[in-house]
Amino acid sequence: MVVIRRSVTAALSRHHSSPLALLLNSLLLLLLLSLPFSLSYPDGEATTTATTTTSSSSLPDQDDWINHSFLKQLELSGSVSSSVLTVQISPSSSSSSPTQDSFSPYYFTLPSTEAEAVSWAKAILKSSSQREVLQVESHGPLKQDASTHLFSVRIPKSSIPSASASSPLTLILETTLNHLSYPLPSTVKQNGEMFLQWTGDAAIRSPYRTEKGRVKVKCPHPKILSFHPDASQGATKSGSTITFGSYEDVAPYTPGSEVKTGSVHYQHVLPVISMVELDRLVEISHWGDNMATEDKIWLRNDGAKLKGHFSRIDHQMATFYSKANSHVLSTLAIHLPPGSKEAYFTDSIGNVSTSHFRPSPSAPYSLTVPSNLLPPSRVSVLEIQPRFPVLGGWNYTFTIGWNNRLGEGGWGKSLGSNEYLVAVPFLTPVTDVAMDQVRTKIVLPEGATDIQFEVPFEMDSISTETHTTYLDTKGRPSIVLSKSQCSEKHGSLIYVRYTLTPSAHLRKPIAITAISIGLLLSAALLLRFDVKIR
Amino acid sequence: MSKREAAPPPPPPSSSSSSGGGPIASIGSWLSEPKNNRNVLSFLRTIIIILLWGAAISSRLFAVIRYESVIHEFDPFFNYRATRVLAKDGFYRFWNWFDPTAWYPLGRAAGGTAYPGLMVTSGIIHNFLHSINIPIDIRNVCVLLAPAFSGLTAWATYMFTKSMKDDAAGLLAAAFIGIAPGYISRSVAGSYDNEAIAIFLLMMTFYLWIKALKDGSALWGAMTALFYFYMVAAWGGYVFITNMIPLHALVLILMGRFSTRLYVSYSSFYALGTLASMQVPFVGFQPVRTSEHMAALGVFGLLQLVAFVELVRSHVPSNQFKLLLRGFVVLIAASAFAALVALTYGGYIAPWTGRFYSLWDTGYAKKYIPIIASVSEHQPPAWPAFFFDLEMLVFLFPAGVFILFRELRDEHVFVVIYAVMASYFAGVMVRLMLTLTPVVCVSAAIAVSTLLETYLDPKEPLTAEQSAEDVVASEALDSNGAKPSTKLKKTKIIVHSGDSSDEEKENASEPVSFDNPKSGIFGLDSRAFVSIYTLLLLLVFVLHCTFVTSTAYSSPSVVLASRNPDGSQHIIDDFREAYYWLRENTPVDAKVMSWWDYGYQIAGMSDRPTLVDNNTWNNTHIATVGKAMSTNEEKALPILRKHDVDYVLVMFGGLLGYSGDDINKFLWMIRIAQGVWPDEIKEADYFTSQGQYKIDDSASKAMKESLMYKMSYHRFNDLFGGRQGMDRVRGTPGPSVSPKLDILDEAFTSENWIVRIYKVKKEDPLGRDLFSANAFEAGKKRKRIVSNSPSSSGTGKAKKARKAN
Repeated sequence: MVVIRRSVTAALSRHHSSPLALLLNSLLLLLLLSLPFSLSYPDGEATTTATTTTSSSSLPDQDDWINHSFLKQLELSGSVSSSVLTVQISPSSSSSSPTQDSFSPYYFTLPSTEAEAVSWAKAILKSSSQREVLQVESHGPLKQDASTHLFSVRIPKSSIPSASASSPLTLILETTLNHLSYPLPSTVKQNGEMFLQWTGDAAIRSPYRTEKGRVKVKCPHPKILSFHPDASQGATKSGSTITFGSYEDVAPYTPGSEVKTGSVHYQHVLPVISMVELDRLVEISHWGDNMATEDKIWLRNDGAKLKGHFSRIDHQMATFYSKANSHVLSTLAIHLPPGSKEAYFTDSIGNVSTSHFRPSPSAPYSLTVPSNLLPPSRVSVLEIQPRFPVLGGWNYTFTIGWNNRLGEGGWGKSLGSNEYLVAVPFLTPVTDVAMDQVRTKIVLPEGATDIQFEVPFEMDSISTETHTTYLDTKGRPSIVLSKSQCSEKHGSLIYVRYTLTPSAHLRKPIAITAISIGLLLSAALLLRFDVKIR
Repeated sequence: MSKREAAPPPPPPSSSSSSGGGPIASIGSWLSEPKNNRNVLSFLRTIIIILLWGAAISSRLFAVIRYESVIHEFDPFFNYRATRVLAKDGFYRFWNWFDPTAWYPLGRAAGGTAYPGLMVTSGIIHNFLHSINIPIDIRNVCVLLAPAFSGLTAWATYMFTKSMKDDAAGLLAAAFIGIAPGYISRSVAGSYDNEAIAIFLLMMTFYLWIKALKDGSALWGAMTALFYFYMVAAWGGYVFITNMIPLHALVLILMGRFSTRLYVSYSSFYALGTLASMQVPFVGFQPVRTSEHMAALGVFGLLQLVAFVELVRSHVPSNQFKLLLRGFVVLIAASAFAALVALTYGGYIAPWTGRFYSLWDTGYAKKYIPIIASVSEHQPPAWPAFFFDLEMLVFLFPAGVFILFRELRDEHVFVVIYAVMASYFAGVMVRLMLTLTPVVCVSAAIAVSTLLETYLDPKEPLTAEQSAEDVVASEALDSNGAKPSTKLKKTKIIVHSGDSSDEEKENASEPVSFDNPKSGIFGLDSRAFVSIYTLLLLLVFVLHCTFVTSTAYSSPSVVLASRNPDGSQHIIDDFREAYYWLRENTPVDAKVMSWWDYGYQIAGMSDRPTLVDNNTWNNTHIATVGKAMSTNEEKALPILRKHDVDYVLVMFGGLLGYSGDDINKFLWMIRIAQGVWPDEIKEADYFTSQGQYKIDDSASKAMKESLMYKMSYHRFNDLFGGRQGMDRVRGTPGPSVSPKLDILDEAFTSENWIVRIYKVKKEDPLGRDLFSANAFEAGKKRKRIVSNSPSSSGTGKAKKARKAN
C-alpha cells in the first residue's frame, strides 16, 4: 500500500540561498522531525514545480495585465544556465472580467528553444508587504505558433492591489536551463580555446503590453567574440554582460509576430559536463544505522569535440606550464552530504585509485541545503579524477558510493510506535552539471509496510518494486523515481515514512539461525548414518 | 660382554613418568580411553584442517588487500570474460558461444575450444549464492575461487597422505601444500586460471585412485573416473593423470603385483573415465585418436590379457600351457603396439603434439614452435627456482621418497613414480613446478612426521646391555643369529617405517616397530636438539613462504605499484587507463591490433575485437601481426588495411623502466614472423653489424624502420625538451630524432606512457597515398615512387620542373 503525498516539503527547501533562510530551514526541519508526522502536513501549500500539461494552448487575453517593466537576466554558463525574469505588473484597467475564481492567471511566453531547456522553474510574487512562492504551470507550445511556449502562474486575488493603487506587483520567474548554449566551432584542438554560442530572444516576448524592458545576458568570461544585435543596433557591452534594449512600449506578442533574435558568442574556460545518466541506489539499513548511496554515472564532456587526436605530451606540457587545457575535465569535485564516509570510486574494470576524499562530521541541521551550496568545510568532498582526462566529446562511466549514519546524521528518525521517517536526497547536486536522466531507487528495510512518501517536485514516473539482496527472505520494498532534465536544483529531499515491526527486524537473524542449525543437524545425522553394504 | 651382563638392568622407563603429574596426568588418563581419544582426535583434526584452510586462503589474499579484488595477468581475463557470459546468458549459451571479436576476422568458437570446468564451477557457485540471495559480483567469485580451492587442495592432500602413512603426516602435508609457494604462485586471489581448481582435482583423483586400488572397489574407481572427468573439463594437464595412473598400473604388473584389486579399480576407472572425458567438447575423440592417450588404452588392454592369463593359470595346471599363454600375451602386446604405430603413420592416430615433444627435447620448441618457446613459463627453470618455490621441502623430498621406498606398498609405488616423473617435468618447464609441488609436500610431510615421531616418542629404547640380552635371547631362539647388536650401538637412531610388513623379509630381523623397545632415541638432549631444530625449520619455512608469496607472487601485473618519496604507495594504472579509454571512446566494432599477449586483456577490459590473443591457435595469424609490427610502414599498411585494423596498441616501458614492454618482446615477433615469411623478415637484419640489439642511433635500418620501433619512440624526445630521450629499460639513449609516422596517428598515450594507442589513418580524401600526403603537409618534396599519381601536387610539378632545368 503506497500513499503518495507530494507537494509538501518543497516549501522547506525554498529560499535556500541566504544564510538566514538556511537557519530557518534547519529550524523548520528540526521542528518537523521532532513533531509527530501528521502535524507536518500543512494543506494546500504551494510548490515550485513546473507541472506540465501537454496539450497545446492558445494565448490569453492580452488586456488582463500590463507589464510596467520587464527585465530578463540570463546567466550563461556551460551546461546549466539560469534566467531570472522580473516583471512589474498591474491588472489592466480595461480588464473587468469578473470571475468567481479567487485566482487570476498571469502568463509568460518563452521561445521554444528556451522552454525545452527548462529543467526547473520557480515563481515568486513580491508585493510591498509579502513574498509568496507560486506554482508554475507549463502549457506547452501555442496552437498557432510552435516556436512559443506558454507558462502561467496563478496570482491570488487577495494579493492584487486595486487598479488605482500606485504600487505594482513584482513577479519573478526563475528558471534553470539545461544545454542552452552549444559549442561553436563544434570541434577544437586539444590546446585551443573553446567558445560557446547562445541564441535566443534579444527582445521582449510577453502576451501583455510592456511599457519598458531590457534583456541582459551575462557571460561567465569577459572574452566575448561577437554579439548580435551588435553595438550599432543598440546593444551595449560592459564587462561580461551584454544588454539588449531598453525597449519601450512594446506591443503584446501575437502568434507570428517577430521577436528579435539575439546571439552571444563567448569563451568558456571550464569543461561543459553533463551526466547523461545517473542511476542512484539508496539502501536503508536499521541494523547498521546506515544509509548507503551508490551512484552509477555516465559522464560526458559536452564541450567542443576534440579535433584530431589526444596527445599526452601536449597535455603533460600544458599541465607542467600550468596553462592546463581549460575545457578538459581532469578532476571533478563532488560535494557529498555532511557526514558521508567510506566513499569509493570505481568503474566497470575496478577501483580507480586517483581520488581524494575529505570526510566531514555529520550536520543534521543542514540536511535540506543542497550540498553544493554548503561551504567546503562543511561537506564531505569527493574529488574524483577519471582514469583518463575527459576531452571534448569523450565519455566516462563510473560508480561512486558512500555511507551516511541514519540516526546520527539526521537522515532517519523514529516516530514512535514502529513508525520511521527517512529523508533521502534525490541526487547529489554538482554545480553547472546538467543531468539528463536521473533514476533514484530507495530500498527500505525488509518487512517495511504502510509506505508513504512525498517528492519535492514532479517526477516523470514513480513505481514500486521489490529489491532482493543480502539473504533476504521476501525482499525489500523499494520506490523508483525517475526524472529527465535535472540540474543542481533537484538535490532536495524525498521523505519516506514507513512502519517496521520488531518481528520484521528479527526475521533475517531467525531465518539464518534456523537454516544453519538445520544444516548442522542434518550433517551430524548423515555422518552417523552408515550406508555401507556388509 | 661379561661386564655388561654383570651390570644390573635399570628399571624400564615408563611413559607415565615422562608425561608429568597433576591435571595433565588426569587428561592423559582420560585420553587413553580409546573412545574419548578418538573423539578428541577427530575434533582436533577437524579444527586443524579448518585452520589450515584459513591459512591457505589468507596467505593468498595479499593482492586483494594491497591492491583490490582484480583479475590478474593475461589468461584469467579470458576465463573471467567467459564466466561472465555464462553467468549472464546461462550454460547453453556458453556451450555454443562463438566469439566473433577474437581472432578477427576468423572468430573463435570459444565454448568448444576452452576447458569449461573452471567457468562452470564459478558459474555454479555464483548461481547458488544468488539463489540464496547473496548478491555477490561474478568478479569476486572469480577472484576468490583459487584461494577457496587451495583449501580443498589441502584437504585432498591430507586424505592422500593419510592413505600413505597416517593422520600426522597428512596434516603436515596439508599444511605444506597450503602455503608452498610452488602452488601459491598459481592460486593467489585473482589468478583465475585453470590451475586454480586443477591441483585440487589432481590430488583428489589420485587420492580416489589410491583408495580404489587399496579396496579393489569399483565404486571408488567410478569416483576416480568422475573426478578425472572434472579434471579433463578443467585443465589440459589432465594428460598427466591419463599417463600417471596407467604407468602406476603397469609398474605394479611388472613388479608382479597384479591383483584383482588392481584389475577392478583400473578397469572401472579407465572405461568410465575415458567415456566421460570424451563428453568435453574440447577433448572430443582425442582419447582414442592421439598418442598421449594411447598408454592408458594399452595398459587397459594389457590388464585384460594379464587377467585372462591369471584366470587360465588358476584353472590349468600345465606348465606348457602357461608358456604358451605367456607367448600369447607377448604376441598380442607386440601386435597391438605395431597396430598403434601403423595407425599413427596412417594418420588415424595423431602423433604427439609439439608441446609434448618439447617436454622430451628442450630445444624442440625453440626450433619449430617459437610461440611456445616465447612464453617465459615454458622455459626450463633456473636451479634456485626450486629452493625459491619449495624451500626446505626440496631436501626433505628425497628423504620422504626413500622412506616410502623402504616399505613400498602398492600406493607407495605411486608416489615414487609420481616423484620421478614430476621432478623431470619440473626440470623442463618452470610451469610444471606446479605438478611437482604436491608430491614434494606429501614426501616431505612423511619425512618430517617420521622424524618427529621418532624423536618425540616418549619411550626410550633398551640400553645396549638389555638389547644384548635380547640379542642373546633371540640368538638362542633364532638359529641363524646375525650380529645386530654391534649395529645398534653405532646407530642411535633407527628410522621408523610405518607398521612392519611381511614383504620386507630382510628387515624382519632388524627392529623397525616402536613396540619394540630396542629402537628409539636415548636421552632428552638429542631429542630436544633435533625436535627444536625441526620446529625452527618449519618456522623458517612459514616465513619463507609468506615472504615469497608477498614479494613475488602477489602482483596482479595489471596494476603496478611504486612508492612515493614519502613512502606511501603509488599505483601505476596505465593499462586500465588505456583499456578503459578504448572501451569508452572508440566505436564498439573498432579492431585493435596488438601483440597476442594483450589480446585477452583488451577483450576483457576494453570489449573490442582483437586480431590475436593468448589462445595461440593460429600461428600464421600471429605471424601476420608480427610481420606488421616488424616491417616498415609501406609494407605494414596493406596488412593493416586487409585486417580492417582501426587501432594499434603497443606497450612502451622506456619512460618508467617497465621491462615487460614490446621492444623487449620484439625479437619474438620477428622470429615468429620469420617462421612464416623467411624471405621478408630476417632476424639478423634487426641486429647491428656487431650483432647487438640496439635501439639508439646505431640501431640497424630494419629496426629503425619497423612499425614497432616508430610507435614506441614516437615523440619520445619531446618529453626531454627535444633532446635525445633516455630509455630506462634498455639503459641507453633513444633515437636522437623522433621517428615520424605516416600511416598512423597517435590516438592515446597513458599517463606514464606504458600503453600507446595509434589510430590507422583514413585514406587521403584527395586520393593521394598517405606518404605523399604527409610529405605535402610537411612541405617536402614528394617521393619518386608515386610520380604518376593522378592527383599530382604542386611539389611534384616543381620537382619535375627542376629536373627539366
